[in-house]
Amino acid sequence: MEILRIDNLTKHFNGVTALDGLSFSIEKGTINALIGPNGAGKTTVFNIISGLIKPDGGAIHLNGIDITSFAPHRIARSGIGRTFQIIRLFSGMTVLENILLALCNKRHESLFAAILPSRAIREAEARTAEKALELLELVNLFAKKDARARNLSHGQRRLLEIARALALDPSLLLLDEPMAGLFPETAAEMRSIIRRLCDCGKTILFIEHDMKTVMDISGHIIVLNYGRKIAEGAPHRIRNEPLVIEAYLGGGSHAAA
Amino acid sequence: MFTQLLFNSLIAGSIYTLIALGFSLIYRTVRFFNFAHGVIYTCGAYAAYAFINQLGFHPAAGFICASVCAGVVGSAVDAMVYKPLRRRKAPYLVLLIASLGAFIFLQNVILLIYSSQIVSLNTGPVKAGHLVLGGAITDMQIVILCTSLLLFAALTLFVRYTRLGKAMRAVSDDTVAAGVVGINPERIIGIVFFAGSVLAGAAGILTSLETGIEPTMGMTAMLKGITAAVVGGAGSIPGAAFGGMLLGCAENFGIWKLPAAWKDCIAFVILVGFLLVKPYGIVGKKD
Amino acid sequence: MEYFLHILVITGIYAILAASLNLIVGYTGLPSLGHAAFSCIGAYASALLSLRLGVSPWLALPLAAGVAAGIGALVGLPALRITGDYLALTTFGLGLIVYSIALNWAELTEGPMGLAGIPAFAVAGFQLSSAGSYLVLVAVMAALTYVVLGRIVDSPFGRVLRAIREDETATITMGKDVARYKIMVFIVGAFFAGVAGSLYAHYITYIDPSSFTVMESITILVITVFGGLGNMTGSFIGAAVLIVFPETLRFIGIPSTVAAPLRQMFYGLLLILLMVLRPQGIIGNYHFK
Repeated sequence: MEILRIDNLTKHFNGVTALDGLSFSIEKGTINALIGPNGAGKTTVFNIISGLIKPDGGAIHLNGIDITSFAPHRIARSGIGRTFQIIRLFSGMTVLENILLALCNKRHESLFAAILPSRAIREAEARTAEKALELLELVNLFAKKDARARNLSHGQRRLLEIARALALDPSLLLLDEPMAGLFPETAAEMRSIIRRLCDCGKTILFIEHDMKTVMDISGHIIVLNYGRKIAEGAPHRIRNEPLVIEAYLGGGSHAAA
Repeated sequence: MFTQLLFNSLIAGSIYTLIALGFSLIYRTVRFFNFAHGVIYTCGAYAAYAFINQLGFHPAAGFICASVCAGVVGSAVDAMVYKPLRRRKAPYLVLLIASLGAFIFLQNVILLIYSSQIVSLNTGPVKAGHLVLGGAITDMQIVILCTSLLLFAALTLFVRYTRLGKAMRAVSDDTVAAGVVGINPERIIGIVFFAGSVLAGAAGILTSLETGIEPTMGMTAMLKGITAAVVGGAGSIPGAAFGGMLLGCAENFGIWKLPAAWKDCIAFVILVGFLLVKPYGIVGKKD
Repeated sequence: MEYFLHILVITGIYAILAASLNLIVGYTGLPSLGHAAFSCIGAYASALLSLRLGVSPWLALPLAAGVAAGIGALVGLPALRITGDYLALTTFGLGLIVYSIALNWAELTEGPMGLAGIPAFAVAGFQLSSAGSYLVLVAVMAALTYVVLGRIVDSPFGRVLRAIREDETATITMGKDVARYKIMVFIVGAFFAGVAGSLYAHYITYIDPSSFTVMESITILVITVFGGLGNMTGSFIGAAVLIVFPETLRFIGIPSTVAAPLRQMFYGLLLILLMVLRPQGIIGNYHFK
């Protein structure tokens, strides 16, 4: 079943075409990689899907609903969680607070509840805290729950950012270079977490330069170059696609596996 | 009536332009809103009062000495307040708030020295204005117009054609790169503060050819300079002139229909309006 | 003694102002340089309600705070589009506009003449006009402000505010309607500033625009920054230190024409020193970005 469909997406920045009629779709419960040389428009795709920037043309459907014009916070609530290439945590807050923030719903966070908290709200908060600790268990950060996010190692920060995105209970998870800068053992842990999430029914779309990871864990790959899709398909097909090899070797920025 | 309003607009506009020029020159190099610019304007006016009235200088000599004085105060503020902040890479907002502190501090130093009594420059007997195209214009006003035009032209040529001016542009474009190609950014920034402050001081002196001098005169003057700079696109030199003239016209033609007391409010409304709708000004662009 | 109590009343009012500004600047990270505008609106609204319409000060105070909150919502709108130093400049300009209106809309505000004879609070026929009796009222209001603002910042609502301060984009991608929170923060901040303004008006019984100048906004900012950005207790300590301390100038016999500029010089110098040495304030945990 199709969870995300992107039709004819176009975006210009100051006259430069970042995306040029991009279309693709993603099946529910699969792991998908979005790859391409630097400047191909991968992060722009993420920013448009999550609503942070609006496209000049085209449409995005999530579970059949047109979310193109939704405000970014509404898109997040509709079930799209994301991480950033340059990690964006609330670095002055504790690890637990980072998760709690994402878990809390509108009702808990109202001004009225802040001034006159009812018992029901207090109880709900206790339940939220339990859920937050479960999520921290999942990414092995339970022991760090009271540490400030800025004091974590790079790998831990990546994991926390994913846990925070998961706290939204998204059906679709967008990960922007989850492996970047990770030590081999953390990278392995990250791969296993991504696989586990898929087994739990999450759909994943990730951007990655590390070809080993891409070929290893994704079931479907979309290749961008200059804002256009140049290839799409299963890893073994992409590996031998002449256009892809040319884009990577011709561009010279990143060698393919 | 129209001619008179146009004259008044041009005169007010040329003062605003001068303040905005200095402000923009500083903004485009160090990228923060230097609120202390307003008090430098006041310093210029009081320095002129000290040289001309108290020490008996010739008005022209007094004008030059007082402008230099304002420049020195501006450089001192930069050296003592902003330089330490730059060294620890303080964000623009911290610099802005520190400049607000410098503004308050210096304004009250002036208040302590000269009290809140309004004083005026002693520049000879007041003469009747000339009638030009149905509007009156005084000798002093002609002096104001010519001096501002001269300073504007000098600054434009300086920034565009001299080595130092080009170095200023290099610093404003990219401080690190400027450092790499052998321009000492700190030296250039020092010069920029001096030049910008001379312009603010000159504006203060020219204003006091027409009106009284008081310690609080810098606040509205600065806001109008900032308004002119923001309208024209903060950091742009022709933009400052354009914004200054536009503001002068808006105020003077505005009070054709509105009570004169609302004059200042017009400027604030234009400032906020522009910040809301076109924060980077008419010719400016987001960087 | 009476004079000392008077200083404490003023300290309480500034504590409310500084704490309400702290919510906007210190907790949410929105630079606001026009806070006196809200207390101006609160003071004038309260004074006019009781003078012109004969409303009891007890009712005028919440109504006036409500008016200030409404204006706060309008002032919050720019914060949706503009950030950083441009927002600082915008709020600065808005503060000047409010001051300018108070000064020039003479039909309503009596302009520079000001409003005199503002009725005092009364409890069962007893007028709270002495500093001692008024101090009780101000202390209660300041305590209430401390509790309410304290609860707000320690709640999940406050957590969202701190998240906005840390990283607005990330907060949005966590599904938070950041725009709504920013407006709410300005509404709450302006509300309490309005309370402070109303308390001031019914205490001094005379207000004119000169009490709500840019210098006032800066004084409030100095107290907030000095006490500590993102720390409510800091705002109260800041008010106590920075309002009481300059008064000692008067006790050592310095005439007020000298003491007033000295006090402001001190505030200006303190602002510079704080920015250079300790931008987060004495017990703060956030500084301007």
